[in-house]
Formats: sequence, structure tokens, C-alpha cells
Amino acid sequence: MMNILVCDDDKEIVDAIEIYLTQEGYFVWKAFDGQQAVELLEKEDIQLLIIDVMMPRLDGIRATLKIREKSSIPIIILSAKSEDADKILGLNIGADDYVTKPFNPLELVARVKSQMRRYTKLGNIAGNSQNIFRIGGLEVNDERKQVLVDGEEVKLTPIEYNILLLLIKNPGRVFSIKQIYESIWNEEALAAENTVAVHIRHIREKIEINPKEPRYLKVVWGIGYKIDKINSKE
Amino acid sequence: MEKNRYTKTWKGIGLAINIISVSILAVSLIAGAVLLHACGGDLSAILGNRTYETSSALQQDLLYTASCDVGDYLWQQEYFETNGTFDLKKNVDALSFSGSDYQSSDQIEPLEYTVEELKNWSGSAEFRNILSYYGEDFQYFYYSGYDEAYDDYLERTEVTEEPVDAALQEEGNTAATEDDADNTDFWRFNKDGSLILSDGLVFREQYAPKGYDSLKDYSVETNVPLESCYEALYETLASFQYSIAMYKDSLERLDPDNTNLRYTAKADGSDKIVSTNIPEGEQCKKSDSTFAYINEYEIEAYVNTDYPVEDQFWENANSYNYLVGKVGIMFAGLLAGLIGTVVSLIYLTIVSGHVNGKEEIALCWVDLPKLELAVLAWGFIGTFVVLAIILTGDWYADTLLWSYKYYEAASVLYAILVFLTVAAGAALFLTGYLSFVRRIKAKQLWENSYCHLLAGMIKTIIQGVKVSAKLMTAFGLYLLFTCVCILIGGGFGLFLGLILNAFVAWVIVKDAFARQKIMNGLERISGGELDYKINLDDMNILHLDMAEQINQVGTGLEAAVEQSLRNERMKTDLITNVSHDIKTPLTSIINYVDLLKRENIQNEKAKGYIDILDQKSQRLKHLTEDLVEASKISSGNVTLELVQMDFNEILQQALGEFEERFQNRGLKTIVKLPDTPLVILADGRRIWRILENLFQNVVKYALPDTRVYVEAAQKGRNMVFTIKNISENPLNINADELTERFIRGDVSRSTEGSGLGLSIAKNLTTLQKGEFDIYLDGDLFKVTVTFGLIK
Repeated sequence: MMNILVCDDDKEIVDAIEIYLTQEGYFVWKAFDGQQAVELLEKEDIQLLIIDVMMPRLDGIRATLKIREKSSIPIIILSAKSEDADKILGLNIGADDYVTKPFNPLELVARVKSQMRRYTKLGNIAGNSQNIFRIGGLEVNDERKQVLVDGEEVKLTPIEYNILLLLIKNPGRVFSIKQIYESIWNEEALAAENTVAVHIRHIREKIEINPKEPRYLKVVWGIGYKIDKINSKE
Repeated sequence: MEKNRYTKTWKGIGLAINIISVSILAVSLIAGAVLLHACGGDLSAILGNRTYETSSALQQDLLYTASCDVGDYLWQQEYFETNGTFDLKKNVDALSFSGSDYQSSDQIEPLEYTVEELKNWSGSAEFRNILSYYGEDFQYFYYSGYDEAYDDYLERTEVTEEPVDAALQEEGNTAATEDDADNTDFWRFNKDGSLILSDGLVFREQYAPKGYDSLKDYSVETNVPLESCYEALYETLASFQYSIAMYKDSLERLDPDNTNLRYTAKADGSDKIVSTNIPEGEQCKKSDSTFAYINEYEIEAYVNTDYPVEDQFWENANSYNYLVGKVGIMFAGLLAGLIGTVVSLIYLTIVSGHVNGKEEIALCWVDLPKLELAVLAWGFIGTFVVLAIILTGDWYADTLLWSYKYYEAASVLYAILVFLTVAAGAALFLTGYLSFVRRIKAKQLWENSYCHLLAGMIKTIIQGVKVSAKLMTAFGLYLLFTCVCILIGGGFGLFLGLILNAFVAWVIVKDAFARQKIMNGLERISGGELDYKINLDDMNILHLDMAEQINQVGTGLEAAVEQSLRNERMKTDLITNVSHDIKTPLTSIINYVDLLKRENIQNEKAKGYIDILDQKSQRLKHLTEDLVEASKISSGNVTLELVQMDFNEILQQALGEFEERFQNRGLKTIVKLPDTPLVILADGRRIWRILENLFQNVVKYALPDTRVYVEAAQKGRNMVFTIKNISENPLNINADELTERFIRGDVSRSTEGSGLGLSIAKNLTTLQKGEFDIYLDGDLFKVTVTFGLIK
């Protein structure tokens, strides 16, 4: 039984989330400020934390910092502060994910599941073979031509697979549409080819929890597409 | 370790060393000078450690003695001796003896008397009366007495109207000529030819010249003017006694028993010895000989260096050898003194005023008085000290010269005296000098003077007066000075005028510099550096005000900008806070609506209600997000990350994103893109937002199953992007209003969308220096976005 701690000063939100999560089979602990969350974490065995930022006594950011001193459990920050600066801050200080309010409950649940999987299963996977490419929870196994997202297999078309492979093999590097086309199809890109863009979109739909906010396959508008390196916390 | 330099002990030592060194230097210098003098200026002798006998000093002494003493004697011998002995009967030619204008020759017989006659005559009371009456300089000891006699003489030599003795004129004697009219009083003659002097005195001839009866007789015979004869005779007599005395002196002086000098005189060109004082058969040590050429004689002189006599040469030799022996000490003293002085002076200059552990220069009581006072006091005391030094130095030099014989102890005493006085002088000098140094270091030199005080007062007065008054006064003064310069005229006036104008030029240049500084300051402040302050140091009084005001303006601007920024920040905070406060309850609404949806509600009406709640809550969510974004953009609170990006690329990316949505509405996209990239400088994410909004617009409002034309091309230096589509609903508004906030094509506002889409797109475009245009024609909806290309 997986235990999740939900911390927010708004009681209704906490209750709502509790309902979603218990429906998925998790046990939910509740806290209403950062101090409570820290104390609960020390007492109970908890596998994931969902925490708001704007709270009395101890805010979410400071709580995260404190928690991170001792624990490496997945932390999802849930906040109405949706500016880029806020997201960057949250992720930098140790959160694994950042969800803005108002949120789609299904999306929240999906992210929780993804984090859980990674924490429980994927943290134990060791060894890098030459043909297995891993970024965060995304794994492309070129030996078996298999794509796994947080442990679950995703079916991609050959073209989609090739594109993803190209990008994951060169983490951090931006490929323009033209470059991707020429690399995959091995011929000159003709004008007005938005095939690549469409394919990218399909890939995203398949591997991202929220295609509009991709974790892996990112758009660099006006320049191209890339998969970012993700710093592991192991 | 460094700080130890500044302790009082070191400074004290430095002072002591300096004073002692200077004194030693002074003593050595004086000694050196004396030595140099004693050696006749022959440095090589000193250094080569010669003796007097081999020195050039001896040569010089010899030459001097030979020329003067021997020369004199030879002349005397001519007149007084025959065959080397004094001959009373020798004839002396008065013309030659007195150096008259008329000399004996073929036409003129000599005017001769015997030595004895002249000696008796000149020594006679009668003549001496005349002599003393008509005065010779040396008879008058007091100036006032001489003055009287001279006035007397002037009176006596006045022109008289007495005619010249006619008798003389008759005989064709040119004794008196018109030229002599001035002196006729002196040169009046009796009938017997004797000279009448005033006051009843007569110049009586005691003897007659050889071969003549009288002077008159001689004059007539030889045609030498009588006055000249008397003149010659008078001069001869006047100096005869003296000459005889000198002759006697020479005899004594050159006697080998009285001197070590040995000489031989020959007539120039011949080998015959005319005169010599070398004793018969003398064997001795000889110095080198010197040759002198006087009056057609060749004189060879040397010194008997056995020194049988203790004469001047002997004295010189002793002095010289003694002093030369002391060269070493003198040099040592010189060197030590010099080094000590210089080193300690440098040290003191550096160290003066600095004190251990303190930053600022320490001034002592000497530095307190104003500069002018200090200088005067220093100079006043200094004068006395200098006099003392000169005096003691002089005594020391004197005694040193003779120290070998008499004054060894005295010379040491005087050396000490010199040492002390110079020490006092050095101490005084150091006080003044070091005070000067300290004042300079502490920047008190000018500041601590009366001139500075005065200047300050004038400055204060000037500052109190308004600008125009100041200028007029200054100009008035300038005019005045110019007039003065012109009036003075000449080179000096020109010089003054130049100085005046140079001063004015300097003022003008300074003015220009000040103005430049102000200009620079203005430029920088207007360029955005609001905290820049113009440097007010040595700014002209006239410009000081201006500069200060400008600095104030800058401060004022800065404050205003700060205020404005704060307002903006407040606005942003407001937006974020408000939006946060709205989003929180909104989150709950959405969550619980979702939960409701999961409850299996059978009631159809309830289900419908829940759907509406869901819709509206989602719309509320979008509206909130758009609102925040629109506010931020319109207030300029967006930070753009401008990079070079390819519009071609992003268009393809965007089209890819919207492919499905277009398809769902049956919209077919006709895309026209160039082969080449369209590189613009923009923020990628914002461009995506613009495209997203525009395409979203198309998805929402285009007539289904129609074509949408998407085109991007290069036109000149710009990139132009257009979307054309047919609108589903008729557009009854003009294009401008559409981009206003909250205007939607669907006037009933029943569909989704917040009405902010176009407004946000437009604002984002203009924010990135692009152009955004909407064109409406019937149902045709055309958007044009233009950006400048970067090649």
C-alpha cells in the first residue's frame, strides 16, 4: 500500500485530491501547512508528497528544502503560482514535478503514478547498455525496438520511433524540422513539409502525460525540437 | 618592519647625521679651498702628493717674484747703479724717469741730473714743502682731508686771464700754448724762468740740468715745452725719494743672505749676464727654473731648496707640504660629509611628517605659522647664521693656511667653531626645509598662508555676487588692466599685457572644460544613467550652480523612475495576487465538478447541469489565464528572450500542432512557404503564442469545410505572414475593434473563448517590434503579421 501525503491550506482541495487518490488505491495522509507535513513525514512511512506553496507557518518551498535534507521521495508541487519563475524555483529546489492550479484531476493522478513507478521500480535499475537510452522515465531500448515510459510500454510507428531515437540519442541538441526529415527519410526536405511537426505531435500525445507541457520531447519554437538531459537524483 | 622607519629614534639619528655631515662637509670644503689655494690651484699636485719643490705653486711663486721683485730691481739698477754698485754720480734722465711725453732722441737731448743732485733736491725741505702743498694721495689719511686738497687744487687750476709770460713767447718758446690756457695759473713763469706757484711759492731750480744753465735754457735749446720740462722734473723729484727707498729694499730683498731666490738676468737676445745674485760657487739643491721676460730682459730664477734662509719660499714649502699631508683627511671628510648629507637629507625628506601608525602627516609647532611669517623668520635668523658661518669660515681658512707654523691649535679651534656655526646653520636650514616638506606633504603649503586666506576671502566675496554682476566687474577689471598695460607701454607693458591675456585665456579654457563636463553629465543622464553625478571638484563658480542643478535633476528623475517602477511592480503583484486568489476557489470548483461527473448520476437534468458547470468552470479557467497574460503584456511586464529564429520552422511546428484540430473542423490548409529560412529576432515562445492564438481563432471562427490560406514570404527587408479564412459568422465590426480586448467576432459571446486572443496576439507582436494588421472584407478575415528580417 502506497502512502501519499497531501499538504494544502485549502481543506476542500485536499479532500478532493484524497478522493481521487484513494480511488486509485493509495492511502492518503493529510496536512494543512508545511510544518505539519515535515513532522508527518518524519513519523510515517510515506512514498510521495503533494504540497502547495502558499501556506501558513511553513511555506511549500521551505518545507521542500527541509524535506530534501533527509529524504528523496518524489515531491509534486501543486500551486496557483503559474509563472515560469515559480516553476523553475520549485523544480530547482528539489521538486520532481510542478502542477498548476486549476488542474486536471486525471493529469494529476497520471503524474502521481508516473512518479511512483519511477521511485519504486526504476530507481533500482542499474547498468547502461550501449543501445538503451534513458532520460528520466523515458526509455528507448534500441535492441528490442521498445519504448517505455515510466515502465509502461508505448507503441510508436516506425517513423515516430526513429524520430524519438534520434532525439534521445542526442540529448540537449536541437534538431530543426529539416534536419529531422533528412535524417529519417534520407532525402532533401521539400518545402511545406509539416509531416515532421505532425509526427512530433503524435509522439508527444503518446509519451507525455500532458502533451501541452511535455517533460521529455520539447519544442524550441522557431528552431526545432529536442530532448533535454535530465539530472538524476540518485 | 616598514613602520620602524618612522620612529622618533630613527628620525633623531637622521637629523643628527645630517647636521654632523653638513658641518664636516663645510669644514672639509674650506680646508680643501685653502689647500687648493696653497697649491696654486694645481689639483694634480694634491692628488699626486707632490712636494712644494716639484709643484707648480712654486713655479708660480717664482714667476711672480721674478717678474716683480727682480724686474723692479733691474729697472732700479738702470737708473742708480753703475757696474753693479750705487753710483751717486750717475746721470738720470728726468724725461725717461718720469715717463714724459717727450723722450730724448736724436733731436732732443736728455734732461739730466745726477743721482746725488736729485736725491738732495727731492729730500730738501723746500721741495718737500711744494710736494706736500700740492698733495699726494698718500699724504691724506682721512678722506675729508684729501677732499679739501682736491677742492683746493681745482680752485687753483682755474683759468685766469693772466697772459703768458710775453718774454717766453718772444723767444719763440712754445712753453705756453692756447691749449694750456686752463693751466696757466700753474705754469706761470718768472722772468728767470722759474715757475710761479700760487700762494707765493716758487719752484726754484736748485740744480741746472747737465750741460745747460737752466731749465729755460734747456727748453729753448731742445724745443721741449717748458711746462713739460717742469712736469718731468717735478714728477721725477716727487717720486725720487720713494724710488731710492725701493732700491734699497730691493738690494736687501735679493741679497742671497736674505732670500732663497736665485736669479740671473740677461739682456734679451744676448748671453751676457747683466745682473745676478748667485753667490760665487754656490752648490745647492735647486728647484726647477722659471723664465720671465720683462723690459727686454730675460730673467731665469730658481729657488735654493736647501733653504739656508727662512724666507717666503721656505714658509710656502712648509705650509704646502703640511697641507698636502692632510689631503687624505680632507678627502675623507669631504666624502663622508657629502654622502652623509645627501643620504640623511633624502631620508629625512621621505620620513618627515610620518608617524608610526598614523595615516595623516604629523605637523609640529614649526609648521603652524603662516607661510609668509615662517619664511621671513627663517630668513631673518638665517642671515645672522650665514654671517657667522662666513666669519668663522674666514678665520679658519686663515689659520689653516699658517697652521703648520703657528696656529695648529688655533686652526683646530677654528675648525670646531666652523663646525658649530655650520651645525647651527644646518639645524636652522633643516628646520625650515623639513617644515616646508611637511607642509607640502600635508597639503598645507599653500593652505597655511596669508595669500590663501586672502584668496579665500576674495572668493567668498565673489561667490556672493550674482553672475552678471560678476561678469561685468571681471570685464571692467580686464579693460582697466589692458589700459594700464598700454599706458605703461614698451616691452614691459607688452609683457604685462601678455600675462594678463594668458590669465584670461586660462580662465576661458577652464570655463570650456567645465562646460564640457556639464555636457558630458547631461548626455549620460539623458542616456539613462540617472544616478550619474557631475564631478563638482574645482568647478568654476559660474558653473557650479548649473552642475548642482543638473545633479538634482538626475536625482529627481531617478526618484520618478523608481516611483514608476514601484507602481509597475505593485500592478504586477496585484495581478498575480488577484489571479492566485481567484485560481484557488476555481480549483475546488473544477475538482468537485469533476467528482460530480464521476458520480453516476442518473438524473438527466442533473447531468446536464453538471455539464454546464464543467463548461463554465473551464471557461473561467481560460479567462483567468488569458486575463493575467493580457495584463502583463499590455503593461509591458514581459521579459523577452530575443534569439534568432526561423519563422519558417515555427510555422511548420505550429501547423503540425493544429493539424488535427483543423481536420476536425474540415478546414483545409493551403500553405505557401519559401525554400529559405526567414530569420527574425524574436522570442520563440511568444511567437508560438501569437500563432497559437491566430490558429485557435481560425479553428473557432472559420466556416467549416473551407480553405485556410497560410502564407509566409520575404518582402524587401521584412518577413510577411498572412492567414486568410472565411468567417463563420458575419463580422459587423471593423478591424480595429476586433483587437480591442474582450471583443469577439461572435457578438453574442456565447461560444468559448475570452475575446482576448487577438488582443494578446497583437500586443505580443508589437512588443517584439513587429506589425499586426487585420483586414475585413465581407466574410473574409485576413491577418497580416510583419517582422524585420535578420540576414
